[in-house]
Amino acid sequence: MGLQAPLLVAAALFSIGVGGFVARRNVFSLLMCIELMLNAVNLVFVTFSRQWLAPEGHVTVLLVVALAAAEAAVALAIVIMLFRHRETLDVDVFASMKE
Amino acid sequence: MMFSLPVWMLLLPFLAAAVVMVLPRAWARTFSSLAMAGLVLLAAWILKDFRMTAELQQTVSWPMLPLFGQALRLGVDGLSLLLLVAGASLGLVAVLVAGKDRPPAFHAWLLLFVGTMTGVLLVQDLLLFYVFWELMLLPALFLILLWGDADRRRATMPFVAVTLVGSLAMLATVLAIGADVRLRAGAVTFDLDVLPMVLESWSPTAKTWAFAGLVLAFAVKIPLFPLHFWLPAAYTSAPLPAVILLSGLMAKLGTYGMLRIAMPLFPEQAAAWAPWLAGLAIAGILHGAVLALGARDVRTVLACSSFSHLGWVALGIFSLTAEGWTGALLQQVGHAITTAALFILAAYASERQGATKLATFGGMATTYPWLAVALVFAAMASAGLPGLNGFVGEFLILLGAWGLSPWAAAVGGLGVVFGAAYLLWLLQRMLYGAVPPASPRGADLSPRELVIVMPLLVMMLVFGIRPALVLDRIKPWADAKAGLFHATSSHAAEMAGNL
Amino acid sequence: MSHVHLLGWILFAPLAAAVLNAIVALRSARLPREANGHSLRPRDQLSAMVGVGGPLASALAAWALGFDFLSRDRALRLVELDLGPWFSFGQAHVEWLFRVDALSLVMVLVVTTVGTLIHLYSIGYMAGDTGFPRFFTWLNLFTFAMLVLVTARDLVVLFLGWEGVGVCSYLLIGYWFTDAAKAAAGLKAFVVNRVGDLGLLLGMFLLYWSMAPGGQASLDLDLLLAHVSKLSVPLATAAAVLLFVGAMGKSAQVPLHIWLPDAMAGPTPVSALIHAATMVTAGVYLVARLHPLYHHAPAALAFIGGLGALTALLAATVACTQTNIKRVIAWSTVSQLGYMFMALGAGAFSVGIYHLVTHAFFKALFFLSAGAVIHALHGEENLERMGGLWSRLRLTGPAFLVAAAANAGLPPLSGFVSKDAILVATWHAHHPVWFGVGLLTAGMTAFYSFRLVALVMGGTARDPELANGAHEAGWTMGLPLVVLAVGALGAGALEWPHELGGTLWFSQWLEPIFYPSLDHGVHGSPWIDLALTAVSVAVVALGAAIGWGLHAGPGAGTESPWPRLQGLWLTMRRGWHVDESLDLVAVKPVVFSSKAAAPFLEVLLSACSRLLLGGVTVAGRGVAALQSGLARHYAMAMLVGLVGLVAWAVLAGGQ
Repeated sequence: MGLQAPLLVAAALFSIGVGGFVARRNVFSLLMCIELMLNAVNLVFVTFSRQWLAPEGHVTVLLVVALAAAEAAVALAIVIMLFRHRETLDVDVFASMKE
Repeated sequence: MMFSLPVWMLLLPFLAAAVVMVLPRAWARTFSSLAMAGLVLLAAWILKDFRMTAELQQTVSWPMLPLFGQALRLGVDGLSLLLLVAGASLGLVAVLVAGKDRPPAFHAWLLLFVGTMTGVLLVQDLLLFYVFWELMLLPALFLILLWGDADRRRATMPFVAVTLVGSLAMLATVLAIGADVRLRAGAVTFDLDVLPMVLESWSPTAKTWAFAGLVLAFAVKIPLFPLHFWLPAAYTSAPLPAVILLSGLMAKLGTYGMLRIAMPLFPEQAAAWAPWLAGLAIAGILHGAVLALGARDVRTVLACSSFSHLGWVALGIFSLTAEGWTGALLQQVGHAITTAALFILAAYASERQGATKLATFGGMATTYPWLAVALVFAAMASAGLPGLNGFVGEFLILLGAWGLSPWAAAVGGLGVVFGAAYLLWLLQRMLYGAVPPASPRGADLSPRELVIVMPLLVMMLVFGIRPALVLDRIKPWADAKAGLFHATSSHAAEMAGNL
Repeated sequence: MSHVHLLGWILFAPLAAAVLNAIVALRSARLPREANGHSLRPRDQLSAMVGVGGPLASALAAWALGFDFLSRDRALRLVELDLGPWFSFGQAHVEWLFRVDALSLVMVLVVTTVGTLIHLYSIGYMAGDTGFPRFFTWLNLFTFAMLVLVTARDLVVLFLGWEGVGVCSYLLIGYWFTDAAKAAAGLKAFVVNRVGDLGLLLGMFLLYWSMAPGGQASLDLDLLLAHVSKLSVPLATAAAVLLFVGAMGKSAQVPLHIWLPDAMAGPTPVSALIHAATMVTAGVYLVARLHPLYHHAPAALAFIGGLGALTALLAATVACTQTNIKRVIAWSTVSQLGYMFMALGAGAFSVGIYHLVTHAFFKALFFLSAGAVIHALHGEENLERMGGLWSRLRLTGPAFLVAAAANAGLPPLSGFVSKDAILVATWHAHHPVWFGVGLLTAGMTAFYSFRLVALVMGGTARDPELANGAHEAGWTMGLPLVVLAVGALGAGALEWPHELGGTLWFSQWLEPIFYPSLDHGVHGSPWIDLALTAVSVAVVALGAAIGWGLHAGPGAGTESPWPRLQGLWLTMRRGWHVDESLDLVAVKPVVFSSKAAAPFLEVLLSACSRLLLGGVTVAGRGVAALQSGLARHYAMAMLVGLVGLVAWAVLAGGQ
C-alpha cells in the first residue's frame, strides 16, 4: 500500500477536526474534534513508521493514545463540573481565561 | 541496579511529597521527618560505601529515548557526595524546625525542594541537570511566596526575575550544545563525559558565549557580586526551614554547577576568566561582610554573612588550585552546618525577643545563657576559628588564592577581619549589655531545641578537629580535577618565587 | 612516667579542667543569680579546685620535665607528642604534633607557673562573682591554647593556639558583659588581632608557595626552617615581615597596640595572665621560634627592632601620664614588649626571651598587686582617689614596690638584668639609636613606675574614706604575690652579667636553639659593658627619683607636674591620638560604607533589576491585550500559525 491513501485520510480527518474546532460552540464537539486531530496525527505516525520500518512511530502512537485517554477522562470530568456550575456548554460563555 | 541507592534517593522525596499531600495535617510533620530521615539514611549508606578516589561511584545508567540522549546516568563523586549528605541532613533539620501548624503542602514543597536539589547533584547529564535546576526554583519560590513574612512579594520578584534571566542564558547554552552535538555526532547526547570531546572543536567565540551563559546562571545562584541583590530580601523573608535549605544547600549548587558543568566543559574559558571571577568573589566577600556589619535585622546580618561566605567558596574555586578547590568543597560543607545553626539560633532568639530588629535586642547572655553559649560557638565557627569547622576551608581557600595571586589572598583575606567584626558586632548587640527593661522574659533553650542544635554544634567541633572525615573524600577529586588547570597554579608558584 | 606522658599532662590537664569547669558553668548558668558577698558557693569551690588543679598539674609536669632536661645532654632535650594527622592539602600534611625543646620549655614553665599562681589569686579576686565557674573555664581554656601555641611543631597548629588565646582573651576582656563598653573592648581586641592574624596567614602562604616548586611544600617548622636558607633574601624578608605583622597584633606593637589598653576592661587577673605575662609575648616567641628565617632577612630584623624601639618609647611616654592604675601598667607592658622586640632586632634572641621571662614575673606581680589594691578599694581604679595605702596594705605595698622597682630596672632586681642585657646587646649590634631610645625609655620607665608607687602607696590618702576601708585579702591572693615577688627579685641570678661576676645560665640554656644566630663576640671589653651598665643605672635612678619626688608630696596628682607641658601631657595621655587616627583612617570608612555606601549600592542594583522587570511587565501588558479569554480565538490563532508554518516549510523546502 502506498503512502497516499493513509495520508489523504489523515489530512481529511485533521481538516474536519480543525474546522469543527473553530466552528462549533459546544464543548463536547470541541473535545471530539481534538480526538479527531490526534488520531489524524497518529495515522501519519503509523504510516511513516511502517514505511521506514522505524519502531519509534509506533511507540509514539501508543504514547499518544494513552495520553489521549487520560486527557479525555480529565476533560470530561471538567466538562461535567462546568455544566454543574454554569448550566451551559457554550464555549463563548466561558471567557474567564482572560483574568 | 535498577533500584540502587541513587535511584532511591532521587525518587524518595518526590514520592514522599505526593503522599504527604493526602495526609491529615496532624501527621504531615511526622511523616515528612521520617521521609527526610530515610533520605539521610540513604545518603549515609552512600557515604559508607564511598571509596576515597576521584572517580564517579554508585553509577546507574538507564536507557532513554534517543530523542533526549543516550541514557539517564546517575552517580556520586567527591564533588557531590558531601553536598548530598549535607543536603539530606539539612532537609531533616528543616522539617524538624518547621512549626507544628505547617500544612501538608508546606512539607510537600520542602520535600520537593530537597528532591530537586538531590536531582541536580545526582544527574550526570546536562539536559537533566537543567531540568532539575529549573524545577528547583518552584519550591523555593512557593515556600517564600506562600509562607514568607509580610515583605515576601517584594522579596520574591527580584529573585525570580534574575534567576529566570540566568536560567534562560543556561537554556541557550544547553540548546546550542544539543543542536551542535546532533549535527556533528548524528545522535543526541547530553552526557557530561562525552560533551567535552565534542566541544573541543568549537570556535573560541562560541565557547565564550556558551560559557558566559552557564556562568550567568550559576553566578545568580551562588550569588556572585553584583548579582546578589535578590539575596538579602529573599533570605530575610523566607520561613526558617526554607532559608536553611536556601542558604545551606541551594547557594552551593551554584558553585557546584561551576565545578561540574561550566569549568570542565570550557576549561580554557574558565582559566581565562578565573582571575576576573575571583575578583568578583572577593568583592562579594567584602561587600557581604560590610553589608552584614551595617544590617539592622538579625536575619539580614546572617543573609549577608551567607553571601560573604559563598564568596569564599567561589574564590577557592576560581583560584584554580587543588588547595583552593579542596578548601572550597570543605567550606561548602562547613558553611552548610554553620549557617543552619546560626539561622536556627537567631530564630530562637527572635522568638524569645518577639522581634528581629537588632535595636530591640540586648543582654540575652544574662537571660538565656545556653542560647548565648550556642550562638557564640556557632559565630566563632562562622568566623573561621581554628579547631572548628570553618577554619580549614577558609585557610585552604586563602592559600589557594595566594596561588592565583598574592593580592587575591591579601585583599580577600580582609574578609577574615571583617567576618570577625560583623559576627562579634552581632553578638555584642544581641547578647551583651544590660537587659532592656521592655524585653519579654522566656525560658532558655528547651530540650527539643537542644536536640536540634546540639548535633550541629558537635559537628562543628568534630569537623574542626578531624576535617579528614570530610577531606579524605574530597581531596582525591580536587587533586585530580584541579590538574586540568595545573598550568596556572605552577605559574603562580613561579610568580611567588620571583617576588 | 615517660616524657611523652609528661607532655600530655602539661597540655591536657588545663583542657580537662576547662571542660569540667564548662560543665559546672553550664549547669549553674540557669540557677538564679544572687550575689553573696565574697564567699564561695559549693559549686564555686568545686570549680576553683578544678580550675587551679589543672594548671597546677601542668606546672608540676613542666617542672619535672625541666629537671629531667637539665640532667640530659643538650642534644637530647626534646620531647614530642604525636596525636595523628589534622588535615592535609596539596603536598603538605598538618599533624597534631607537639614538641618541647629548650625554648618551648621556657615558655611552658612561664605559662604554667605564673598561670597557676594567677589562677590561685583569682579565687580570692573573683569570689562571689556570679560567673565564677565561667571565669575559670575561660582561664583554663586560655592556658591550654597558650600551651598549644608554644609547643606546636606546625605553623598551622601554632595558629590554632594563636587564635585560641585570642578568643579566650576576647571572652575574658568582655567577661563582665552586662557592661556593653567592656564587651566592646573585647570585640576591639579580637578584631585588631585579626588584622595581625591575616599577616601571619599571608606569611604562611608565602612560605608554602615558595617551597612548592621544590615539591616539599609544608608548614612544619622543622621543614620550613631547614628550607629558609634556600629562599632569596627579598622573599625571606617579605615572609618575615608578614609573619611579624601577626606578632605586632598579638604583642601590641605600634600601630596595632591600640587594643591592649582597652583590654584592661577585663578582670585584673586576666590582665596579669593574658595581657602581661603570656599571650602578649606570643609574638616574641614566634619571632624567636622562627629565628633562622629572621637571621636570613636582616632588613626584617632591623624593621622589628626599629618598630620595637618606637613602641617602647611611645608607650612609655603614654604610661607617664595615665590616671588609671591599670592603664599605667598596660602601657608599660606595651613598652616592655617593645624592648623585647628591640632585643630580637639586635639579633640577641636569648636576651629577648630572657626579658620575656623576667617581665612575666614582675609584670604579673605588678598587675596582681594593683589588683589587690583595686580589690581593697572596692573596684576603684582611679589614681586620683588613691594614696597613702602603704601603711594599710602591709603585704601588697611591698609587693607593689618590688614590682615597680623591677619594672623600672633598679639593680639587682630581675628587670635590671634583662633590660641591661638588651641595652648592651643593641650597643654591640651597632644600633646606637636603639640604644639611645632604650636608655631614654628606661629613664621614663623608672619615672612612671615610681610615680605610680608614689600616687598609690605614698603620701597621704586623697580619699581617706576609701583608704580607711582598705584591707588585705585572703591567702589565695597573698601567696601568689609572695612567690612572684621572690621571682621578680631573684630571677636576675639566671643571667647575672659577666662583668659583675655572674654566669649567663639562661643564654647557655638556650644556646642549642639560637646557636647559629648567636654572635659570641658581642660581649666585647667588659669595661665597655660596665660603662654602659653604669650609664643605664644612673638614668634609671634619676628617673625613679624624679618620679617619686614629684608625686610623693602632698597635693600631688595625676596632672602634669610641669604646667608648661600640659598640652603635650594631654596628647600623651590620649596615646598620641593613634587610636583616633586609626579610627578615622580604617574604621570610619568601613562603618560609613556599611551604613551608607554599601546599602546605596544595594538600592542601585535593586533599581536596575526593577527597571528590567518593569520593561518586561510593560511588554507583557501589551501582549496581554491579545488575550480574549475565548477558546475559539485561541484555536483560530493556532490554526493560522500552523498554516503559516507549514506554508513556510513547504515553500522553503521547495527551494
